[in-house]
Amino acid sequence: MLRFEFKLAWRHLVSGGGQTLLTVSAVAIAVTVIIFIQTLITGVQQRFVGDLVGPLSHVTIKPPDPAPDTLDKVGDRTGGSLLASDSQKQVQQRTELEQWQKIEQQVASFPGVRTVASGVGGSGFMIRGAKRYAVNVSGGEPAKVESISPIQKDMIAGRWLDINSDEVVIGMRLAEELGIRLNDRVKIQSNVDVTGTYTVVGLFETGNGQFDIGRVFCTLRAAQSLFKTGTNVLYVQVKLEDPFTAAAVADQMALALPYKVDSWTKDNGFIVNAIQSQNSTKVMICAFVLLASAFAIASVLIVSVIQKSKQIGILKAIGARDYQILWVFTIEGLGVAVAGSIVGCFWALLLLRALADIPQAARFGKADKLFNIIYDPVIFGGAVAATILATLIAAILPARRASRLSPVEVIRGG
Amino acid sequence: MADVRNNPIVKTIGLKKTYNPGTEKAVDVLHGIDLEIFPGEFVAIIGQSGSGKSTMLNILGALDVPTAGEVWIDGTEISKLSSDGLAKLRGESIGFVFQFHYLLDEFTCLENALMPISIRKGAPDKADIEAAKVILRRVGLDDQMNKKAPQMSGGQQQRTAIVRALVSKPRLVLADEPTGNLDARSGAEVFKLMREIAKETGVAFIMVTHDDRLARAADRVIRIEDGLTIEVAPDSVVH
Ligand SMILES: Nc1ncnc2c1ncn2[C@@H]1O[C@H](COP(=O)(O)OP(=O)(O)OP(=O)(O)O)[C@@H](O)[C@H]1O
Ligand SMILES: [Mg+2]
Repeated sequence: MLRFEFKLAWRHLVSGGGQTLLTVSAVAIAVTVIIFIQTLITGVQQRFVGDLVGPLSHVTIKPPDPAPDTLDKVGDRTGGSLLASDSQKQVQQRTELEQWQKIEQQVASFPGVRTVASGVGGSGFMIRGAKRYAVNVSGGEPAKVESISPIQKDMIAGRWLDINSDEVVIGMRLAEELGIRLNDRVKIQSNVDVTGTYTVVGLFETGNGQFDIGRVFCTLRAAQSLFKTGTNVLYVQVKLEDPFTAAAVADQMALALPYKVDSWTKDNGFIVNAIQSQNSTKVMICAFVLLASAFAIASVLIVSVIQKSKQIGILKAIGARDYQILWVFTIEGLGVAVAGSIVGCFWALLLLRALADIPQAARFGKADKLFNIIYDPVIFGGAVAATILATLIAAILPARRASRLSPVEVIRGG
Repeated sequence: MADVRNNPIVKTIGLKKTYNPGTEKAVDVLHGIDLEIFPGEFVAIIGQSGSGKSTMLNILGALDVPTAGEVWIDGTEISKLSSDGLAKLRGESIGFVFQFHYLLDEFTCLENALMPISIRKGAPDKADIEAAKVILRRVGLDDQMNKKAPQMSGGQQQRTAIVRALVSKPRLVLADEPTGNLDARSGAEVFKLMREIAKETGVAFIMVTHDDRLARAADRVIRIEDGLTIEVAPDSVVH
């Protein structure tokens, strides 16, 4: 299959020497730049999203808001006998989720859902001696909470995953603010006026100020009694495989479940927008790079076709078909693209490895790398595929031109 | 010979060629040529510069199509063929030798000689290579076979081109001033070789030449004048 065409294309490339090397380098640079830009921007995004969205619930299921009373209902209420039980039901629905184990199961069956955690939370005050500090209390099974808001990796003292219902874990900055040390006892007063006493058994520092200064984690039981929810919960939190599908998944869930469903993107539209515009920047840069390398290949091939037009004429005179000539130049383009891709991947690896080792100035006391570099085969493969495609498109014009050369024209030329 | 002569390898009936027909730049070159060339014949085509020798040769070699009339090559009428159909016919039935040898610089002498077979089959087999080597030795290129084309002399390149024209065992070889670009001695050598090979193989040779001495040595001489052909006796060609 195409042995003659491959051989001729190969000989052209070899005899092209420096010109071939130059074209291969142009493609390699394109591949390198694309991989480089994609990896850097993806890394920045992942870190950014990780820091900002990491501790957030992607989708949160809450009891439905009470429906505003219609005039009909008001009328009913004044005259009807079902008034009492009706409004009671409504109040209960409004504040708590009763059958939360069942909700967890339902929610877990949605595509794209990674973990589900029910919890009780609310605002309150942490009291230490004469100092009071406003906090948000989150109660849930530690292992499940961890799957939504991972803090184990940010623990700087004590323990978290095995706390008891009289123990809490708080942020380092809150501890500093109130002068709390590990194993100190603190009081928490909830917004429904329940006060409890707890031992601080763990301290964390996530780097997210809201968390580090305002968040208190406790067990589900502790929160249920602080917020008087009995055996019910106030919300079910969901972590998705892809945080950017949250809005869509939330819409699906809202249709299927009789609850209020919110996604993190609702309150953080700016993050989504920033990432979207970053993505379009990324795409644009890569498109321009591809365009430039496609032009480079096209122009080199056009020159080569002109240089070889005598040869093409003679090949046709001695029996070569149009499609054979088309193949020769297409294969040349492909050969340059494949060689350039391999070299480009290699260069990109070297470059990324060099960058990966650059340290960043200490970040919240934790050492970190300046660039968050992930060697993503999808990025490498995508860059190669895009480049080969662009090269093929670039090769089509000169190759067709070559295949249409008429042998007489060439032979007359002398 | 009688039945062979009944089956010409090339036959034209009322062949006309106009370049850019129907435009202001139209050039009437051939005005209706009837011609028959038979296997084994060595034909010289002569005529003044611009008389249409190359034009006719290109049509006889299926490189170009006539504006009117019929051209039969090896039993096929070419005016209805597509560009690929013409290429196939050329590859199988016709060999070419051009004034400028036109070898492929990236290939060796042997590879160039085998080029029509590579084009047709992808790669030559052992028998093809042996056959090519036999002809290469026949034209005195034993020690040049593995040289790249540009490393050979003009005469050696032209001899390689002759082997390339013969390697597919065509029934017709066309040569447009094959010796025009060579010095007198290598020109004469190349001509002698073609003449001998034509005799040995029974292939028909049609050669355009400006060299009357060479034309005199042909079986037939055809002069193109005013767009028509005139058959002349070889020994009447003077120089
Ligand atoms: N593609 C073309 N377009 C227009 N006119 C052409 C074309 N090719 C050839 N001609 C004209 O046709 C005529 C015959 O040309 P041709 O090349 O066949 O002459 P020739 O006999 O081979 O001449 P020479 O001995 O100089 O090679 C010339 O007048 C030439 O200008
Ligand atoms: Mg001519």
